[in-house]
Amino acid sequence: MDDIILAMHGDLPALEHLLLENADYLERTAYLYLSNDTDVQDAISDTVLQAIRGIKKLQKPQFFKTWLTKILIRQCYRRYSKRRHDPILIEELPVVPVAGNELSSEQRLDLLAGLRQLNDANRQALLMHYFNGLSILEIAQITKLSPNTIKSQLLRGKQQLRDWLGDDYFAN
Amino acid sequence: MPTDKFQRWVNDLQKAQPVHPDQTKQTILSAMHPKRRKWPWIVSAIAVAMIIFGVSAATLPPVQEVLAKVPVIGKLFQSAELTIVANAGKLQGVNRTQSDNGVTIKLKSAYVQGRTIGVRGVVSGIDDHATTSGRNIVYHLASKSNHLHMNKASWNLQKDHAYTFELVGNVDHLASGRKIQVPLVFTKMFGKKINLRFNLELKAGKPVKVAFKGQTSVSGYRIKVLSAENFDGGIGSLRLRVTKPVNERDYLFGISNIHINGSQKDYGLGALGKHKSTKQSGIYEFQTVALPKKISSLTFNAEVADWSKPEIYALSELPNQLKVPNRAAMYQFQPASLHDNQLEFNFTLSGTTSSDRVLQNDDLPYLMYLQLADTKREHAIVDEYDTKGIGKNRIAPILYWVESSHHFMARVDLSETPFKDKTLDELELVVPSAFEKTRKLPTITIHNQK
Repeated sequence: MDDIILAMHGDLPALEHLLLENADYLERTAYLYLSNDTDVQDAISDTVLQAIRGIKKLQKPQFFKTWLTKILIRQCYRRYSKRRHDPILIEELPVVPVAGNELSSEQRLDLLAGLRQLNDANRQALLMHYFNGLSILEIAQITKLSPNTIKSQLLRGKQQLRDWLGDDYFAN
Repeated sequence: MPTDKFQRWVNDLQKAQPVHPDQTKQTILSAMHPKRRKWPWIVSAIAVAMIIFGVSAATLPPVQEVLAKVPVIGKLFQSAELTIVANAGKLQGVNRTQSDNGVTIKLKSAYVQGRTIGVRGVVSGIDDHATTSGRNIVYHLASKSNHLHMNKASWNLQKDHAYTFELVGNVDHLASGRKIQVPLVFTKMFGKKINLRFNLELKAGKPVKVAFKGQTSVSGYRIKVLSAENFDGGIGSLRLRVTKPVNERDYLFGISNIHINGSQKDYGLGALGKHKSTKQSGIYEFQTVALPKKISSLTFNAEVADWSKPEIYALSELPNQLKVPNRAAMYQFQPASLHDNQLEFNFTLSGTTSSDRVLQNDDLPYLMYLQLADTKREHAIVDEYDTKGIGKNRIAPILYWVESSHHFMARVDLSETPFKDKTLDELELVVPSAFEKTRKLPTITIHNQK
């Protein structure tokens, strides 16, 4: 917490320490939204630059991680948006498990497959809302889409995931 | 409001994601210290490249190639999907020609619809023996990926020893509405070794959902419609979840004669695969012609194939005859030979009928496979094979088919396989029993409950 307060007062070494502490988290989060290694590193790099510029505006130190995550998601979405019409090399698509047992690793693969099977825009919206806890309005701001479009993407994404995985992953 | 289950699963996914912490820390430091950017940038770029290429090389599966395929016994297979997509005007022009070792392949057109990829082309430069005898008509098709499984092919002889061909395969990913790059690598054509790579860029057809939900139970099997979709090329798909009766053994589920709203039209085009299994249920996807927008009822015939009891013999003791239970089909084996890791054995398959679907579906790789004698007797039937028919624990021999006599020559080069330097006693031939152990279920009707 001390580092956050120092960083909020412009202490760059403290911010650097915080960012390095969160390097693993930043990378893993970026991979949820992006599949390309270079894009992930670029998004993290720009997140750092945005964090340097905006750290003084952070009002409460306990929101540091949420604030940093939102910056990262915005950077990821920018890259996703830029590449959404690029052709995908078939080799970069994840393997869908064909048959298997009840291993947890396979379940994880299933999830990966299920998520990747989703329409990209729906997947981004699902992750932002249901995983990272962004409100529909916040997602609309990031994606520059209307809140109603986001609501539709969430509905379609949930249905797609249910169809694909054969289970409801949104039931508590 | 985030839900526990979704969060838990995404958390698991995050943990499973391989990361590059050193690289990420370097990225953060480079961004924090822009004055020192030049050299760290170059270093990091090299590091990123090393990671990308290193990881790619390490994690990419071996070059995937479908096993040797032969024309379907009796007559050439006509690709219904390609014809439908062509009629819908959704074939995409490719028009690329490449030559190697005297063989010229021209890919003319292709499509991606749902999980299906189809390619049309012409191959020329086939030698006299191959074209005149009709023997050894074997091709290998490779992609540097295990996401593509070419599973159907048709060949038609044209003048000057050229064949038009159609290949239809499945990808494991639904790239709906996106452009995808598909590298196709031909490594063998009619017995000639070639290396021709085509990088196709194809736009995947966009799916449209058909409102249809319903479920029913038949003979203890619970069948639920998970989704029905149409693609813009005139092809559709049905996804079913099938839950087997308690204590029932593993099985494969297949459907045929798909009729909708009581019509006589058969909508079925074949199975696309089994996607996900638990102990009790599996999700099966079937390809169809375009489904009606409004479905009130779906009727189909279903079969379950029990794969649990394969016939297993040491290669040193292949039986002279192996009769397929409950069928007229009969294998007649000749003794196997193994010299310098070159395995060869011959057999004749006679008495097949129109109901022997495994042969008709061109699923020859599943006819038989090799395993080590001490291999745990697993009953799973699905295995991924690489370009040479090498799986994790098994090898599918490349079968050369002689048309006139239903005689097969099985050959395997074991020198670069896990079975290298094994003896005939140490190797087993496994003949899965599925194609003789199919059980028909009563006709199934599912009404739309949406």
